[in-house]
Amino acid sequence: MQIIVTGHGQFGTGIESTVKLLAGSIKNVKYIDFTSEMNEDDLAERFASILKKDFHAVFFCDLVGGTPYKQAVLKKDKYDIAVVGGCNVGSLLEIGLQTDLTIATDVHEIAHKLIAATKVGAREFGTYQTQNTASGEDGI
Amino acid sequence: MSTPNIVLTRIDNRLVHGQVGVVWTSSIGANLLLVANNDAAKSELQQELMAATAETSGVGIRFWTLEKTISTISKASPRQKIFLIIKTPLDALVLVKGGVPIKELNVGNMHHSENKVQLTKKVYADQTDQDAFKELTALGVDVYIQDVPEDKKIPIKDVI
Repeated sequence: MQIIVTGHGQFGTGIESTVKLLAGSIKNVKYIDFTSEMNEDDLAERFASILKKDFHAVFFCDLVGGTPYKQAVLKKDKYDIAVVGGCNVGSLLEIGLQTDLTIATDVHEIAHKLIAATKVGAREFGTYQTQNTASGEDGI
Repeated sequence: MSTPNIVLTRIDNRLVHGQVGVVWTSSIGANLLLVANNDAAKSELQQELMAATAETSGVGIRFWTLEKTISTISKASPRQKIFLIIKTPLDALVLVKGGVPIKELNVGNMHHSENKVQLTKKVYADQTDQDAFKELTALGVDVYIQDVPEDKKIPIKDVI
């Protein structure tokens, strides 16, 4: 499967630059911008051409209910897709690097994991507890 | 007492930061970050900053002195997949000589500072660093430079 990162302006390629600096690249993650020169049909066409290459996709959108999100959802009858909005770059790195997307096929499982990682990853500094030994059982 | 399951050892002068805590941890499937560094073992702020990264990645983290690492790492449980993070080649040498079973050593960030010569884009080393690398290699440790998991490993002996 693939993860398609898409959003308004340079959200997609902006996330791509963050991933590039931190990780080099993540296999099977694509980035599509929805820029001011494009209309919905242009975006839908971009989505269609990328989905033709891989039937299973998770759309990673900037906003729930925005145009990239809506155009992604409209593809659900023809392709096996899940659509998430509002997830963060940490979740993309974590799930994208832990999962072999080239063999994974359950798009909803990946969508759930992205959301769970996003929730855990949004925190204010000072609310963590450090632990310097194993709790209870064996180990360090 | 058994052999601790060290999945990777990395030298990084920033210790645990985004690249280490998220990218490397996710890629190697570690569930425990062990920061072996005498300064970090004493600094609450450093620990809190690195614990934040670990917690959001859903892994445990420990901050131990080199001495405690040497004396205690063998008590690790086999289920603990340890990602050992250290700051300098000399610290790596201390651990290896102290019996910590480090078979391979990933050299990540060693940024520029005075008297250091450039080995690669992100790795600078002074004479002390280079001597430590040579001694580690002589002790049978596979030392290589690799910034991110998809990069090719550059054997340290090719650049010093």
